[in-house]
Amino acid sequence: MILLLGAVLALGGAALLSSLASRHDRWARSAVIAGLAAAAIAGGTLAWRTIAGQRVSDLLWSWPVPGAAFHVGMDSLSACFLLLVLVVGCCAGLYGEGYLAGSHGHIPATPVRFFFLVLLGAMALLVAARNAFLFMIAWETMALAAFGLVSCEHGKPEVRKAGLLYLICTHVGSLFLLALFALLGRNAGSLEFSAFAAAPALSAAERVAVFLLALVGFGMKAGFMPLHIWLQEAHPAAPSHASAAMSGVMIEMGLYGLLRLLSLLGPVSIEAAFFLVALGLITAVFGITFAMAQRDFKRLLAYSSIENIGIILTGAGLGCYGLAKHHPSLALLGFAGAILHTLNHGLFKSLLFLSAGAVYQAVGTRDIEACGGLQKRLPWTCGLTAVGAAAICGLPPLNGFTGEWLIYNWLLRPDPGHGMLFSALAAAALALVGAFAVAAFSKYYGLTCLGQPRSEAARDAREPSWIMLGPMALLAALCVGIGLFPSPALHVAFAAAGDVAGQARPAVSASLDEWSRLLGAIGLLGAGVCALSALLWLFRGALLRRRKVGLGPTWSCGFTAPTARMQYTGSSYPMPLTRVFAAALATREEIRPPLGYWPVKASFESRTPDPALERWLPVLTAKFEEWLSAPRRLQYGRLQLYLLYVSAFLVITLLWKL
Amino acid sequence: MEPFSQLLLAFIVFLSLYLLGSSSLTGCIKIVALQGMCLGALPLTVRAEGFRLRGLFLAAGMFLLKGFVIPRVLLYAIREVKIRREIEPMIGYAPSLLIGAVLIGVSFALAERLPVPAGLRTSLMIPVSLATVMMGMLMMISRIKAITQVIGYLVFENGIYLFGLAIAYEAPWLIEMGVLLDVFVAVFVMGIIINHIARAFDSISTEKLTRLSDY
Repeated sequence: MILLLGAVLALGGAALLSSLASRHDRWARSAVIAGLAAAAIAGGTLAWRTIAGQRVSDLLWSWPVPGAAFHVGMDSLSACFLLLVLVVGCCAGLYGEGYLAGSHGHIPATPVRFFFLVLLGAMALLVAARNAFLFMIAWETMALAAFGLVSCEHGKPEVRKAGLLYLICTHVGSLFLLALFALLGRNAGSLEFSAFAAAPALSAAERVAVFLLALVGFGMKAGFMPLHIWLQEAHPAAPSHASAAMSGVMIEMGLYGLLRLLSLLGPVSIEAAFFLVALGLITAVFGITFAMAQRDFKRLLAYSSIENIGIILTGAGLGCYGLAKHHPSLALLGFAGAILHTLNHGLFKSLLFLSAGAVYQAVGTRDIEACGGLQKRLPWTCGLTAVGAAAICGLPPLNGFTGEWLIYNWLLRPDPGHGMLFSALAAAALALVGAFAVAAFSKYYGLTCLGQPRSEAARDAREPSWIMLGPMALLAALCVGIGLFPSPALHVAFAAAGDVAGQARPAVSASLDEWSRLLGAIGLLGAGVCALSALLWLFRGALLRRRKVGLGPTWSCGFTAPTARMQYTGSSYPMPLTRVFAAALATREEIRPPLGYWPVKASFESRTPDPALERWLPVLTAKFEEWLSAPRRLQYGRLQLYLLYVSAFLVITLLWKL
Repeated sequence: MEPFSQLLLAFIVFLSLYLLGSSSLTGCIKIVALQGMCLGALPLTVRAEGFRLRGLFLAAGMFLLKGFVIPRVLLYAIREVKIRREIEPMIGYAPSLLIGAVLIGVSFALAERLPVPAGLRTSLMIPVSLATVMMGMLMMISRIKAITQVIGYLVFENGIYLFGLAIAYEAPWLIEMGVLLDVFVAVFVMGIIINHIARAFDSISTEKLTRLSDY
């Protein structure tokens, strides 16, 4: 456990050093890189040992605060998330140095470095915490560090708005978590996680309360469907490497919390499991539908995070179903699918956010419709974007496929007990999500990287520095590697799933071998396909060697003056699909068509606001305001009156008690 | 010594009443200073069995701080903002005096029913402290100028100090020092803030602060 402390201290120390050395950019940068490297080595060693089955003893220091203790421990579940934190955190942190240098002072470097490292340290501590008090401290530190990252460009009003929204959401979530731990702590008589597990069974009503509190508290961070409102606002506002860490790791911490709670409190009821699956599928379909309709590419990525969280939640719900039905192999399969997809999502989503940041810096806008033709200008960045986009769509030779494949296998298994209708519906919903993901990401990749540049900035875009490309390439290599050789990642996921489902190692490894063999075969097939494609590509090159390859204009149906703006746009490309969901999307369009024989002006504008944030939340807040308007009359803003209220209250309580 | 302490306590109540009825700000500050000095002297009179060095020290600190330093800060503040009188209190001077008298009665009634150690039941200390707290509160509520609010706050704090003195004569040294420091810093900060309010609003009437409210 000293290794974990070392990792956390390295990150915290680097955060302090980098802000102390804020005057000397080079020193601050070295502090960040050294801290990341030290944390990666220490934490990575610890995680690897734990997953390999070595027992690591807990570290317990008492604290004078009642109920609190500095108690950290490691099991496979913690180790799995620790690995994710470190891999994504180090890649994003390294990239961040290049990104900060490339922003030419638009982003304040010192606070971004500080908050980024604090965010990583808090998450590393969070996954190891074995005491609810320590857990909440790490949780809040993580939330506040992320707030610092979201609102670092606070000169812009939309950034301030996003930061405030995020802060409110995260505190609402924390409030629910506090209530949750208070409830569990009262039952167990202690705030230790081990005491929660050993505590007497909760009553039925308390179980429902715990379930709902955990769902809202952790779900607010993870972004389950009606609770996602901060995600699509906060991710575009943060610097790209911070969005990568937030989207790739931080929101997954909500799922970690849920899984940890499951491992402590045991199975939920079947109805609750069904509810989780349904919520996951709704979240996934919702997220990807809205991702399709976005024009801001970081917003698109944020919505796709909601979709992936939905898929992960579906897997976790299926695992819960297996637990509730006392079907260990099903439980293991569901949880392993969820955890594997969590790992994979962390990798490809951070890759996509990093490459989106590179595009943003090169073009200077997040509007898809100002990009175009970047493949020729930023070949590396766009190539890596293509890898990430293919992975997130769940296409076979890449890692996104593996986790979803486990979940599909759960659904397609002819097991007794769960109705076929349920499985069929869920599988169909997942398939729909996959297809929409292809639409959304072909739009993203196609419109930004292919075609002709739509703006001056896109025409003059240049490749970013190697310090930004390197981490992206590493993440892409991991995506491809896990896709082709899935068994190490499967090993990690199954070990963690075994912890959640409370199963012993031998049972887990039997199941692991079976799936590892199957997925390994698929990976080999994928490798074969890749090799064949490479051969064909070489063959094409050989055929074309002696010939001249010419470039010509696109055929424009006979129109004489085509321009680059006559390409597919962000709204027109997914239109066949968005039209089907028009009622749900409620895209606002402002059309001023060309009128008369000599039209002067014509314009078309479309915007897809988030329904939960801009349609449902105002209704709710309006209701609240109505309720609160009566006590609000007491607010005159006059100091003397407030003093009168206070003294009247005090005197009344005094008289009442005597 | 007992009669002497009774006399001091009566004097303290009288000073609080006088404050409620006085309109001159300089006068108010001087009265608060006098009240502070009485408070400083009070611990020396309550215990017959000789003084400890610590008690003397505290008394001297209290005497200096409340009798000289804080009034200086306040006098400086009103000289800076150039005001002399509280012109339009929310509750007039005569009604405030009447309410003050009622509050003294209420505090005696309250003190009877308060669960305090038996030895204190007959002492004047508890009712006087309650009365001082309430009158300080009344002053804060009924006056508009920021400076009179600070004075009200001081009276209020004097009451709390008296109560502490009654309940635990042997209050820990650190706590006493902490309280003294708190009061000093509070008054210091308020003195500065009053200047800023005067500069921003051209007046130190807290009425103007309602402009800062949400609506």
